[in-house]
Amino acid sequence: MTGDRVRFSFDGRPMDAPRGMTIGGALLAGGVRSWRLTRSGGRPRGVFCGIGACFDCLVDVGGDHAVRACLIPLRDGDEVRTCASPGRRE
Amino acid sequence: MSTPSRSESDIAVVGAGPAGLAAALAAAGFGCTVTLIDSGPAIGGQIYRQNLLGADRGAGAPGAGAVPPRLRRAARHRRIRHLAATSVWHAEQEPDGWFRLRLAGPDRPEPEPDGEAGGTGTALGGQAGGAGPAVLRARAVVLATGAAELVLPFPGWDLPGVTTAGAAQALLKSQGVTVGQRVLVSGSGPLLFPVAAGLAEAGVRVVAVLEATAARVGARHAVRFAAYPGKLREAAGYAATLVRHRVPVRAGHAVVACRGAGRVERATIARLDRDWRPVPGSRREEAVDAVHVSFGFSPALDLARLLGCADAQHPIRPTAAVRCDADLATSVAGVFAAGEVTGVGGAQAAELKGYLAGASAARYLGRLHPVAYTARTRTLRSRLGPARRFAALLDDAYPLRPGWLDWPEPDTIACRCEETRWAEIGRAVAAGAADVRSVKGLTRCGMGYCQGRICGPIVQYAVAAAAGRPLGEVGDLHSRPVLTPVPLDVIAGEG
Repeated sequence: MTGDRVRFSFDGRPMDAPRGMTIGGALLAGGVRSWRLTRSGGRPRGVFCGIGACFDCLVDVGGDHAVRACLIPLRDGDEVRTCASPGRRE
Repeated sequence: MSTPSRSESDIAVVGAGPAGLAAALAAAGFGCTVTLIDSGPAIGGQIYRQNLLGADRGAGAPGAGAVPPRLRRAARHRRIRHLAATSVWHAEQEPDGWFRLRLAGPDRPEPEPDGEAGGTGTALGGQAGGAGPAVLRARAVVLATGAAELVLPFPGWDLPGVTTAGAAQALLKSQGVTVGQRVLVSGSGPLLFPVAAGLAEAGVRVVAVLEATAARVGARHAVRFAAYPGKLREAAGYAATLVRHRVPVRAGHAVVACRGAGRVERATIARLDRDWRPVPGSRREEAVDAVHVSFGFSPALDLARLLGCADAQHPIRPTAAVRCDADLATSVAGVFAAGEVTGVGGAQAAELKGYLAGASAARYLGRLHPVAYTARTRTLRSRLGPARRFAALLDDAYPLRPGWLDWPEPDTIACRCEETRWAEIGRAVAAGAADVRSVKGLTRCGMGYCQGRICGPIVQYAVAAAAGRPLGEVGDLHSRPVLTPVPLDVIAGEG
């Protein structure tokens, strides 16, 4: 990984973003607008409040299910996946 | 997960925006030990948002330049410990009078640094996420939890690409990211101008700024605004930026619907009458790829309510604020409050209240003699008068009008988490639910992840209007004890 860019994948597609971004910021910067499907309607969602209050931007990353993309810093090699039917598995 | 560590300090300050930073500095200045807790990665809160990409690293820590130096001192004060990326998910008062706050690190903790078991200080003086204590005991609490944005629903407001105005600003300021390239900024209140100006400066085509309040309402309060030349200069600066980028500002208009396949592609703009009802025949469509919406702010009361602090319903907005006396003491002895959680008034008022709340907490703990307290806070309290009047002026200049109730259609989402439809709220009221709790029980609205933070004010306003009762009499969506979703092992690890 170069110093200034972070490589990651979204639903298997390789992407990269400037270092320091949140997962939500990196996805938006890469042209991705939505990364969650709602539980009952299966409707797409992405960033709404941007400050961790609304939980609309939940995303799966690595072994973590339904984390807030607007808050979580992106790390090298992150496997980011669309979050369907969020309900935390522990 | 490792054994939860415990920790004590004189005062827990929750929130590291201007109010929390000022409270921490004041209390620490009078000899109190302070733990400053904030869910963000760095101090500053929403208003002094830090650039995460290190664009201004030359100034020291990444983005530290956003926080005024007088407040930045909080990050390195020897009696202040800052826990970054940390949420309070539960709080209670123990029999010995101490407050016990249960803390959770970030959704995804940072990996342990090699060969170092303890927490490492971040560049801004905070403890690395996940390394802080799981339980904090404090003799006093200062609530500086700020506010969330108020958004009113319309068809398609749940489409990706529709965000709060604050989200657009946060993404731009912290990461240089824009949601769309051809956008509308819509709603009501003083946030619309700076957000639109920032986007325009960043190269986004802002098709228009739509302020629902009619121009004549603002003009009626022009004389009162004249008493705040600093605020006027700031607003004039944003207005000049909008003119330079040829961004039209339309008073008495709003986005009343959005459409698109999987994301917003078209927005419907309507002219509004004085009550915010769309004027028949005035609808027109614009092709956009993002819409940024804000109708002001709603104090973040979750923690205050958990601690049993009484609140005060706003007379005309579906929001409430923590009830405080002149010394910013809440109804619970030992709990103080400052900033937007005490009523939305802007960063300057928040900072002043922060110093006062910090001093007040120090007096409560016996670190500041009552006579000295009175002397040392006299100037602060005199400066708070104009700040309070400015908050009242904003309320008058940007009144929320009931015509927005006509914007949603029956199948419009009311609660984004539980996907409750607008018609279901109406049916619940028609079936006899005359308060918000009953509507929640019948429809599940407010029961999802966000705990009613987004739909709470909407439902409160709708129920009050439908039932013909004052806002204060229909209740609201109170938070349940677990304020933020936490992994079960965090809860299980708690004795």
